[in-house]
Amino acid sequence: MNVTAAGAAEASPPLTVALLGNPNTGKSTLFTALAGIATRVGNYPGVTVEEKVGRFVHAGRPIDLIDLPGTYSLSPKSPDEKVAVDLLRGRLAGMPAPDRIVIVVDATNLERNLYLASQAIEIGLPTIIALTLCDAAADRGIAVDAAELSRRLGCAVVPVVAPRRQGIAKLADAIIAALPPQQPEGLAAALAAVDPAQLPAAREAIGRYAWIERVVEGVVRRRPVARSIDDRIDAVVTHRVWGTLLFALTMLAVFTSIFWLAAPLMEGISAGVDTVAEVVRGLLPEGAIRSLVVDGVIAGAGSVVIFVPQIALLFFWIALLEGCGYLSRAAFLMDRLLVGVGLSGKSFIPLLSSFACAIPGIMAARTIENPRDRLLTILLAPLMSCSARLPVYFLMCGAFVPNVPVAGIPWLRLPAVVLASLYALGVVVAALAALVLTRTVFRGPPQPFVMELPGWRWPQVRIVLERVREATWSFLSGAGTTILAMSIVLWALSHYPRNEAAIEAEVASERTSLRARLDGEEDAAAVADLSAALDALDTPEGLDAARRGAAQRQSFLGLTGRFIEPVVRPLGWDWRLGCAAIASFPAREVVLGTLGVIYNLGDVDAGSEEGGTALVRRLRAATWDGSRRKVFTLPVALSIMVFFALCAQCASTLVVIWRETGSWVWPVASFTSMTALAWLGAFVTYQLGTFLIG
Amino acid sequence: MTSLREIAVGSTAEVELITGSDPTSERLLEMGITPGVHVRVVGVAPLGCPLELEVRGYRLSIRRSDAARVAVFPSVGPRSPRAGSASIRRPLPR
Repeated sequence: MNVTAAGAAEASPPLTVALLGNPNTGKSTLFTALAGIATRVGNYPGVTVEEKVGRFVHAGRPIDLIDLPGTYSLSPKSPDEKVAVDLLRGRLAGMPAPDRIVIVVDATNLERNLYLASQAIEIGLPTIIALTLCDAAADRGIAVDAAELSRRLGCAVVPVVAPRRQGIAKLADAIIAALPPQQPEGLAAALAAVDPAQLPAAREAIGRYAWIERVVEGVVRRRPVARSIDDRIDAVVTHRVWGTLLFALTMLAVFTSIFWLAAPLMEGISAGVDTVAEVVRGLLPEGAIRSLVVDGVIAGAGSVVIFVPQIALLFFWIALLEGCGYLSRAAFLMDRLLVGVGLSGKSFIPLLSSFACAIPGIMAARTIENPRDRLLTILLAPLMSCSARLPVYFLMCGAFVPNVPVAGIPWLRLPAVVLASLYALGVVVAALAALVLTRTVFRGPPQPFVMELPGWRWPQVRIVLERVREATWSFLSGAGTTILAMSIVLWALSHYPRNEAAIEAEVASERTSLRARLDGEEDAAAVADLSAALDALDTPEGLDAARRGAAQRQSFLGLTGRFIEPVVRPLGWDWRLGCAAIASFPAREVVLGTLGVIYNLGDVDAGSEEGGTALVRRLRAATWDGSRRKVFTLPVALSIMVFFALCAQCASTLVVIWRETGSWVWPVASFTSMTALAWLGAFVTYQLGTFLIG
Repeated sequence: MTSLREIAVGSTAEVELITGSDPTSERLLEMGITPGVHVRVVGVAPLGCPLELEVRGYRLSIRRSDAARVAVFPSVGPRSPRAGSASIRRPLPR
């Protein structure tokens, strides 16, 4: 090709090619083999269905490949399928019908795949059939005569082995050369021949399958296989004992990696963010700007990036399990467990992951095709006790729950029972919520749960990595930016209005009140505590911590805390606890840090032994304003834990719910109802606890 | 009337008709469970539901409650060699 011709070809408008196919046909592998990494990933207008487009050039012709959501037929049953159909028919706003359709047809499962193909060919656009998984078909003793199939279907059929890029260039040639198909031989006659007494949907299926049976006759040759690979693997994987054991081990591996394996990575990120913050802190003069940059922007960015290890690890597992065919087997094994509450087995992994963190869990709900089940799973995920709640549970259990045996069993200790009960509480409340929601808001006809169990195959490394990259990037670019913006707003709310005179006045009044209490105190331990607190105010660190505490208590957040005191009183909380609960909104794990600041400890690392002990001592000593009555008793500690078990005090989770559902209705509804539930739970706990233990 | 949910694990049955006209019935038909086809019950999940079926050479899973809407002619045999393929074959008009 000479330079001029190449230049002219480059200038020609790109050919838009829609990639259509059943789920589990190796469509993603083929997309990657043709177009590489997607150049554009977004949502179709008005729906939360992912739009994935990749640009490549073949023989000088630019080609835009659109990866349509997997669908079984052109009579859509889900929003995903509807998008695929609307796009093909040119009914999607702002998107003209494509120039070509590539139909991905799985050679191991020709009959069912030809159902969609027969419908797509009828559209009349130039159509090419990519016959994928030819290697897997050969392994199973299946041979397909592509030339004869092409003749019978009236369009080009190109066999490919996408992971090894076999047939990819031929497929690209066929895409450019494709002409509108001839009407498939005998299809119209087969549809017309169906008994008119049948219902329309049945007529369509019966007619097409009758035609398909004749098309594959002689095109597909099956070498008899004694017992197929799929049979042998499935016999173990879905076995009552071995299948259950394998499932438990797999889930353990998934959970361990996001719960523990992610921890050192997250600590590394956290340390990195701290280093950056320190460096910047040294570069900027003290003041509002430094605080904004360090405590607002850098800390906010850190709170976004910190989720990446868990998201990446979970999507690694999902892509791996999906790639080999286990993901749908896992849903098969767990379906019965979730049917009772109105969900399906596909919700199991997203909900399980939410015990580590709701954010990857909510994102994992993308694997649920059914929109109702997906939304319900997203709403239930934050009720699972995530790892960010653990520090609160540990601190409260360690400090205020007596370490005594339960029911006379020496190894069964009360703190452990409380901890287990908190986990159970989340699950039970989620189950009840699901029961209520499926009978009210989500009432409607049951959606089909007809799930394909795809043939076993080796996962593709490139596809797995691409999936991880895609999930991570969509979190960072989508939810991440909003979480960052929210962190900055919350920073401002906890730093303003800043009145230095009022801060000094509060520190002074605190000194006076400590002195007054010390004078009237007779108990030796209390005297020691009070004089230690007074002495601390005379050290520079102690004074700084006291000032920061006063500043936080006087900020908008602190003022809100005081304002809502009447609301938290029935939970046994003073206004400081109300403050801490509100200030933990950016992320639950900051609640202990907030408590440290509010109780004049400055920045304590509550996770460290020293910081934890200091915080526990301060909390134990805390009294109600103007009284010697202790704030923290067992009922109060229990009420705090129950509140945190059920509340939605996690801005990042709410942002991710917004991103994944595409509407602010759901995060708002989720926050309101979970806060109400948390308040109610804490109220019952405190009142009952006070009544029983006093 | 015998339905697919009554077919023993390992047995094959020929589909008579699909009752109902809601999306679930429509999806069962689209997935290839059409009158005349042979369906083998491969297994059942350890918790008793759903079922694993083989039809037209591939595997799919449906719930017992949905299997009830698939009317079948009782037992073709415990392990029919024709399992998973359609029963009616006519030559393609040339």
